[in-house]
Amino acid sequence: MNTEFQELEHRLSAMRPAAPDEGLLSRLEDAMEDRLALPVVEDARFEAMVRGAHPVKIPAELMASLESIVSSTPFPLDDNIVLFTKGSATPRFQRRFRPIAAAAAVACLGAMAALFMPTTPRENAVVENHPSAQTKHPISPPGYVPASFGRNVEDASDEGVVLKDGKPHRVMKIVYKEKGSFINAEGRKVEVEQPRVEYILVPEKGD
Amino acid sequence: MNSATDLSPSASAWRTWLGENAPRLLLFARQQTRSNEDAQDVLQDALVKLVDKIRTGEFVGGQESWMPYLYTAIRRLAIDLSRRDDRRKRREDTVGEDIGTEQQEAFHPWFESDASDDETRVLLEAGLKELPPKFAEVIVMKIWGERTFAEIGEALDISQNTAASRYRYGLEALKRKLGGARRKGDL
Repeated sequence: MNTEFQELEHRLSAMRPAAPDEGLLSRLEDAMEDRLALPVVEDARFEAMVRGAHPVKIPAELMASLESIVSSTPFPLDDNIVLFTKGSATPRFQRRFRPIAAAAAVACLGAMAALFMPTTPRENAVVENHPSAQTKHPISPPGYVPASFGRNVEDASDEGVVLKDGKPHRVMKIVYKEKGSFINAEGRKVEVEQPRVEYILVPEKGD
Repeated sequence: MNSATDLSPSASAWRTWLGENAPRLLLFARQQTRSNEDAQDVLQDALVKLVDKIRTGEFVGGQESWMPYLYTAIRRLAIDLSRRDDRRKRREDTVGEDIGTEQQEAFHPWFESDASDDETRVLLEAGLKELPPKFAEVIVMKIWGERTFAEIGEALDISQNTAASRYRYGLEALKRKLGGARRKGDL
């Protein structure tokens, strides 16, 4: 048994691994010289031919389904600009002319605006019309200093029209989620997030 | 579907974005899954994941990071789906179903049909399907997804050099397949 094993071992050790083919060798050289990711001239024509085939268009049914997935999500152009969805920008009230209802609504909204938009920010104010007026990091825990801070738009909606200085203004409500990370003297890091609501007055075009 | 004029700026921007990118993503999903239906499901699920992350503010990076994220998500979802299918197949005898799926696939080409060069397209598609998936996925991402080797490497969890190497191997194998078809007179 032992002799048989030795013989097999001897035969195996006499075998030599096959040499790598030319293609592999050239690839290994290219990899060593950091040329692997560079375009190869010989392949360019074939690559162009392959590129000429265009993926099939999305079937209408699937496209509709994909659009419904994104329909309620504002399209962010970049960190600061977000395109709002129609649903969030559509006024919630009927635009048909109803003099009494319209007068009552304007009066109510005017009263609400007067309550919510003081000229000087009050303590615990829900409405914020001047982001610069608030403290820099209102969610900072005691003993911690800010390490990073950011905010995302969660929702935006049209709250209707109010009268300000005798002129109609549209009230846009924007809900942000603020996120901050804070670090203390021991290097311990905490992350805090809170929603923030901001109302913006946009002058309404008259007839 | 609404006409473009009826759409909000957001919906219009999404439609443009999807019109440009969804075909590329669907092609990748087709390459990663076993059927057209699976590919569509996986694409939708990946988009839902992206949109959830954008909505909750969890998504890191801007618009330029959406495609790399979606490629990775599609691949992971396809792997999960494939594992679930394998488990199901072990429980069921699905020989008849497989034949049905293959026949169905013939009606769902991967590429647009152009009468002047339809034969090449058919052979190219067949060649791509026959390639080992690890080569085909790199070719699909590089050529139709217009990803860099670094991005492909990140999405597939391989090095940039491995991605580049697989691309070359794959392209050469595809060239050989088409060359063979030419010699045989199929092309």
